[in-house]
Amino acid sequence: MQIEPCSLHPPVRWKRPSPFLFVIGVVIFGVFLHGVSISGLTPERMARGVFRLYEFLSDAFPPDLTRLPNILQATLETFEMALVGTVFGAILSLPLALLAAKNTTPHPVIYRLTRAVIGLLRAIPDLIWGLIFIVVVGLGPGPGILAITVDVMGFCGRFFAERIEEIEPGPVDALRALGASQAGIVVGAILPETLASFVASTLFSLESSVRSAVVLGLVGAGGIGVELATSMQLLRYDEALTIILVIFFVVIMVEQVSSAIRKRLI
Amino acid sequence: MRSLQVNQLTKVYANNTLALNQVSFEARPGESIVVLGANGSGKSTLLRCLIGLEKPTAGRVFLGDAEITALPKARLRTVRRQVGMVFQHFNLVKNLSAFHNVLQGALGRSRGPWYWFPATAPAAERQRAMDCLAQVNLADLATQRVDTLSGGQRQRVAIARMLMQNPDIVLVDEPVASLDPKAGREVMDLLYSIVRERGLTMVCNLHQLDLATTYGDRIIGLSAGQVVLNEPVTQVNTDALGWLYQRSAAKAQSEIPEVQIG
Repeated sequence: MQIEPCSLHPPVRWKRPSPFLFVIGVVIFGVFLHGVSISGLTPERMARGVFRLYEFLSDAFPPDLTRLPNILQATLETFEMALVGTVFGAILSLPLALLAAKNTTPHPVIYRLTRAVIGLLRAIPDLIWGLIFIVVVGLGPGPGILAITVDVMGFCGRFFAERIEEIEPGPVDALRALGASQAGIVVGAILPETLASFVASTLFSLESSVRSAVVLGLVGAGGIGVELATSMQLLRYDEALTIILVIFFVVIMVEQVSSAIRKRLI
Repeated sequence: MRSLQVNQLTKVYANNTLALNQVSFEARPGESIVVLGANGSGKSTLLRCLIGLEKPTAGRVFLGDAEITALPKARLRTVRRQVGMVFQHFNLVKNLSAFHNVLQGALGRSRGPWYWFPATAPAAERQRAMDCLAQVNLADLATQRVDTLSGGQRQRVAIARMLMQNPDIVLVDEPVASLDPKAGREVMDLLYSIVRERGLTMVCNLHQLDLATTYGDRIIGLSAGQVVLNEPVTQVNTDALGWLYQRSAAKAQSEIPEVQIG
């Protein structure tokens, strides 16, 4: 079938990127190349690494189970750090989120302020919070719990606030119109709609808190991380392997249980 | 029962839409007023201003001797307690039970956090909530979540919540606009019997002329934010009502005079 030719040209094949995107692209590419060059991961070094990995594994096998009771106890401590920190964090996130949601904040200035605070909590990595709290309250699970609390507030505070901003305005209007107090409105109309999503976000942050709690132990904030750091420093690789396997098991378990609950919630 | 007085009420939204233009009317205690008007004529804004959900740009609203438009927040709550509101989209909390939603009608007179949950609410309030559900013929569905109910049932739950509140005045915003005609009739009959029986003052927004003449004592016609008709239902000329809807919104818009907001 013949189609009548027209005088218009097809669109251009390539569009020139905007100067902004072009500059960003060039800079990132340059930094990437520099990063590869400083890594020093030469093939020869990688080959030696494989050999060293074999050495490590042959030292580690079979895993040494003599200190298993202590290891399990320390693992329980790590899980408890994660649980307590997450629960505190989620509870404190609730008032924070109510102040940081556009539709519940008492004043636009407070909205901006609390959003900034949540941003700050998120911007500082949990390990650094851990180091700060070790300085403030000393070694042990205490600073670990505080670090996780703050980390969870950064995550849940933002997610809770965003969920609150999505609620239907109708029921809130209805309760306001019949003379309910602000607290009555939050409990009566806002929480029923958002609670399932809040619990799901909290479980999700529990999963990541368990991993955080392990790493926080490495810098001295209690739990299994302390044990792992000691074993590695004393070159007791067989004991370290036992610890790593226990951690692996616990992290997988927590994720499985938590995602099973979350599926049922949503 | 209380009277309701509206004086020169004007509402201009942030985007410069003039929603209400110097609206004035009065409802005697026990009078039932039907507000008619096309979509966008300002009916909903009017009701929202009456209860203080929306702050008017100018003008005053009196409920009894309380001036809604000038009350501090704490006093506003106590006045709102006496004003029941029924909405087009029901505005129930969907994932709570019908019983819990009705019980929330008591939140205005709440004396503490135990009023927040069915498990902890005072026995007298729990019984009253059940009585209110029975009054709207939904006692057997008390424990059902509201999102499993039909539209007509939901609006009846909302009416039970209003009853629970025990108001002097009811504001009703297009109660049947989201319902089929049969469910709409049932809801209107129920609402009307409650309002009559208790001698409540009512302001009800409607779209249907036949419902308006059946249920209203007086009809107020609203067009582009202005009162264009305010007569007892016995004296209303049905042609005038038809005209209210035929007049196009665009034409009405062009007839609004400039208002000074001071």
